[in-house]
Amino acid sequence: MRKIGVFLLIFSLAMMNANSGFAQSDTSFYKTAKNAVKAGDNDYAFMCFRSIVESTKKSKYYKEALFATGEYYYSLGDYRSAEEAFSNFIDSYAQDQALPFAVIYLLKISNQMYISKTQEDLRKQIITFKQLSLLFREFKECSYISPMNLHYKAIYFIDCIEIYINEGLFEKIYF
Amino acid sequence: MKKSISKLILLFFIFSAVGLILFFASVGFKALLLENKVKIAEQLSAYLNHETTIDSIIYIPPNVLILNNISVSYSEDNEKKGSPLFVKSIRLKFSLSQLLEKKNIVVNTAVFVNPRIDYNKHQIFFKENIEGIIKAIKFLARGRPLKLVFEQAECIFGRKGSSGKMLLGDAIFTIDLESNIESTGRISYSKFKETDLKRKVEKNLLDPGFFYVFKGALVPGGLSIKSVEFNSAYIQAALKGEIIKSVLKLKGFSTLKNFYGRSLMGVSNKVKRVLEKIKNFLRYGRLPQKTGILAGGINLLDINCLIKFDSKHILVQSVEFYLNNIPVRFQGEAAFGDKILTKIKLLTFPDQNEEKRALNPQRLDIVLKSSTAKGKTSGESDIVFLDTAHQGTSLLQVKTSFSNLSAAVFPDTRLKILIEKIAVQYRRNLKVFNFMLSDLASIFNFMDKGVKFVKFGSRLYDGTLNGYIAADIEQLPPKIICNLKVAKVSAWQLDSLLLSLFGVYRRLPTKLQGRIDGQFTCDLDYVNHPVPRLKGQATIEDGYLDNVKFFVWLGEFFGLPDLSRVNFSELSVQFELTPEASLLKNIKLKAEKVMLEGNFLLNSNEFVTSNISIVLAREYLKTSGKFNMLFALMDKKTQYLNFDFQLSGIYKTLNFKWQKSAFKQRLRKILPGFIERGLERKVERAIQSISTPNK
Repeated sequence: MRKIGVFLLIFSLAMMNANSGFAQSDTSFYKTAKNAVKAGDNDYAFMCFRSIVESTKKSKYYKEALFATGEYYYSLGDYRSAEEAFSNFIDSYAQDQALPFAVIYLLKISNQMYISKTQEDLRKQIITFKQLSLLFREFKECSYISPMNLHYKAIYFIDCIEIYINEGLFEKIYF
Repeated sequence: MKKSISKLILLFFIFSAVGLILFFASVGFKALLLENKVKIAEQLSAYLNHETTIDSIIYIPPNVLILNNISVSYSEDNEKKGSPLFVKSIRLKFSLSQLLEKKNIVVNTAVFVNPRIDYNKHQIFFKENIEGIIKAIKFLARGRPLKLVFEQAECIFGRKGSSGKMLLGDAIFTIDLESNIESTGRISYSKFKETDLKRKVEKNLLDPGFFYVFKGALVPGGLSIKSVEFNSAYIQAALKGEIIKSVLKLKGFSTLKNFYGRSLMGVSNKVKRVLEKIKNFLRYGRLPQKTGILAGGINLLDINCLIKFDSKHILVQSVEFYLNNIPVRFQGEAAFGDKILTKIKLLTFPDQNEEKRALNPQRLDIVLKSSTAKGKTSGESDIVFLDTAHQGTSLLQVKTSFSNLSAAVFPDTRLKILIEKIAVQYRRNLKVFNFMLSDLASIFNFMDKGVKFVKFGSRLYDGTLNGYIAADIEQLPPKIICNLKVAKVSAWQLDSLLLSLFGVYRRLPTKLQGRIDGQFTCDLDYVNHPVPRLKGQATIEDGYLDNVKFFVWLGEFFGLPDLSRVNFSELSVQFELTPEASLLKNIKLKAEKVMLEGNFLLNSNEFVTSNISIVLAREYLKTSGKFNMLFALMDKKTQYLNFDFQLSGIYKTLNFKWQKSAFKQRLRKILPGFIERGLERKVERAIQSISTPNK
């Protein structure tokens, strides 16, 4: 069934390129992708998100699609492609709520690829994303639900940051 | 047979007669020379104005005379006894035709073997007698072409105890009938050590010295320099010009060869960094276009100099050149009257318009002035340049003035320097730091081969400054240890400097602006090895902080506006600054209104770790309109209220946390959420305004 889905998608993409009259809108790609995520078919969802990314930057779904492609590549272990996607994301959306999570992916990737210089810059980027004034609270948190339906949470303490994905600790940064 | 025998006898007699004539002529000439040895010596003495002796004169037929061990006796005082000029031998080749026709000894070649000049010991002799030496040489030539050869010449120009520095050289001069002069030769530098018996020269085999070729001509009023070229392993230069009526004009170029390509293996990182800075400063915007100029060297191109001088005055009207691609103008003046006056001005990019020059990172202005009379020197310097290493471009100016500098050497060779007053002004853009020293006494011990040591003491405003600097120069860069002790200085004299120190090396200084006073005492140690480290402690007693921004903000936050001025009994801090981190620890402020304790660590990666505790007295808090309503939250027995804060993160976006306390818990219970968030935003803004550095 999954193979048939992939075949259909490739077929529909080929048709779109052959004749624009058959082209799906980015909204419909996005809806298809979200449905695929709900159905647990991340491969199919990725293809839709990638179509949005490759079609136009002006799409209102571009930001989420870009993040989703990064997540997908990372889950497959394709760190080069994931790094490209997340780098594009942080260059384009420096103030977005998802930025700390894109940066944490890049930090993990640079850790895997032993790029120590980048790690220091990324650490600074994630730490300076939120300036804290903890008068009465012990921490502040921000969260983000990605198009791939992953629940991200960053907890900012006075001297460390904890990043969770689906309630599981993904990374902890001390400073 | 008989005929041939008689011919042989005739030839024998002829040869015998000629031999006898030559023998008697030689003996007679020698006897004549021996008789005239004293006369020659007297004549030389007349030219040099001092007694000159000649050990012996040897005649080698047909036309060579050798004068052995010529020595000039001269004594300025008992300590400077000795010969300023000694020549092991002078070989004179004279013209036979002139001797036979005109009965004149006209020398056409003079070879000076191992002439030794002790210029260091007898400078006055050479200043007074240089004309006599030239006249004596002219007398030898008597207007005819002359070739002068100097072999293994030695000139001592520096001496300390039994060792010193000297120049060694070989040179050939030819002067023809049209007064053209040509000379070639080699000059090298060496050190020597003297024992009672002999002088031992430490020959530098790696540096053969430099070779030169000179072509010029004597012209009315001076010397025309058609060309002079220098060449060595490191330097190449070519110049031409003239010295006429005390005016020197020169044009040409000079190159320090292969400066950029020279190996830096074995050189420490610090030296490498210095060399890199020099290289960057002198970098080429484009390669030089002139033929023969080395792209990998330091080049002085288009040298154009005009110098006027007489016995009491030197005026460097202008010396202009391109130092690689940087145009440089040097001007100066020195007058040698009752006072020795000097003035030097050096500008890079002298003709660039002011707007462009103000932004030119290679702009450098140096002005130095000094006046020396009766062994005391006063002067001032002004150096202006741009700093592009830090954020943005800053204009830096260092002005120094000093008065009545005098120096004396102890019998054990230590050097003592006294300065009545030194004022230093350091300006970075509009920010000015001043400090002034008076009655500075310093003792330099430079004779120790390994460690050079300077000890000094001075008045610093109304307090004192004492310290020492020791440098182990056996290593490169030298290992330096420095200690400074400042005692009982009125802090307001140094407030800009002190607030800068509390601001951790200019990272936070502009936000600590204000006034500070009290009795300042400081003890600091500096070492540059294995890493540079400045460590010490500073204390200010019985003073005040006036309008210091942190306390102004604190006053506004707590509703205590008079916190803008804090009279304190003690403000102290221990500090340690290294390339890795700047640490202020045990920060203590003791005052009636407020007490503060804390630590502050700023790492080189810009991360801050800090804990600060502020204690406010209950009675003082009563004066706060904001706190009146909160007194119910305080335990009635509590006389002081503690506020403990933690700061962390990157210093530009510091995180702030109010640590747990009973008061905080009670306060939180009664505060509505929107007030809590409002307060947090207020603190956030305040932290931003304190931690973001001003440009």
